[in-house]
Amino acid sequence: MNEYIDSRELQQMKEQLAILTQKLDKETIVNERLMRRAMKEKVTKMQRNALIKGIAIAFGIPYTIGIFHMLGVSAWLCAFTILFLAVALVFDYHTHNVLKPREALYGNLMDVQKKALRIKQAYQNWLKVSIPFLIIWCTWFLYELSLQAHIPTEAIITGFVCGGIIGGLIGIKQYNKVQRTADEILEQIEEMQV
Amino acid sequence: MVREHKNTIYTVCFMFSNDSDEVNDLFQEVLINLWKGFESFEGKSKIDTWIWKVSFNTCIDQERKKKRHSPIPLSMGIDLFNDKDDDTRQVKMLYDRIHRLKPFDRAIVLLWLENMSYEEIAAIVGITAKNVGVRLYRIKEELKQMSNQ
Repeated sequence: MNEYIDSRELQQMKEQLAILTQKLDKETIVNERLMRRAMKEKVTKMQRNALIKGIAIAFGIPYTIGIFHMLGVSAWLCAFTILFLAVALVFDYHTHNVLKPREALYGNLMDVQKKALRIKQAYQNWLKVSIPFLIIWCTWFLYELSLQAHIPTEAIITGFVCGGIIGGLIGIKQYNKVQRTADEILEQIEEMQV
Repeated sequence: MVREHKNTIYTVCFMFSNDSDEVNDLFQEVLINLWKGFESFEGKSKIDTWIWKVSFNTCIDQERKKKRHSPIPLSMGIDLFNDKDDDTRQVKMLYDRIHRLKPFDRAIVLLWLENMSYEEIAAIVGITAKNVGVRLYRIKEELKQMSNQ
């Protein structure tokens, strides 16, 4: 008897759930604000990451001076490195300052789309600048270190390989993250425009 | 992804809400959590399982906090709380039954109604399959009592 009641009750609930699903099938998501809020979260996250990166670079400048001084590296290489870090800092600020979270929530979608594309493009351009720089920098740095008799070769190689791998992975991750986030924002806008 | 699973998400939100505004709040919250979590979704489980899990966790979490946002427009062009047609009456009956259960039990019974196995339910709600069986037995008893009232 219990089994019968259970089955009847639950069978009825299943039928009711099927009705609900049928009703929902006919509906579409119409809330633009919902999508905009999600978009705003993405922009905020992107800006937060850029801020963290900016702070790390800002702290990296005096740190670089100290380390380079300790290693006995030339002032030219030190200046070259600091110049790059300063350019990276400016790039970071200018790239992410174009699109504000508030704009994603209330702004014109076309503008948001253009700005998201600009961020994406800026990072691609930055890659074209930073890779040649890093090749020159690495060669120069290794050359200067090899001139320092007090630093063992093994230490140079180990430090260089570890630093290169860690730095490279962080860089690739950052680049992919920004590209992916910008793509997600663009997809979201396209969906809203359909 | 959202479009494909909107029914699942909306059904969960509906069963955890008290009115239309709350459904929309929850729906919004779930979508944001899905969007935020998508990056960290590693594909270890099926996408459906992950969506159920995020939906339930969001709704149960909100149930605890009872956090409300300012009213926003409908997230779907439907008002299951106020429509009066026959189908909506049936849906309301389902809602009344499920909504009288505890939040965690609501999740289990909804998944069971979706014809999921105990193992699948267990994977979504984070308990053992055996525990799912025990809880479902109690839920059935509770539902039976409701209909006798």
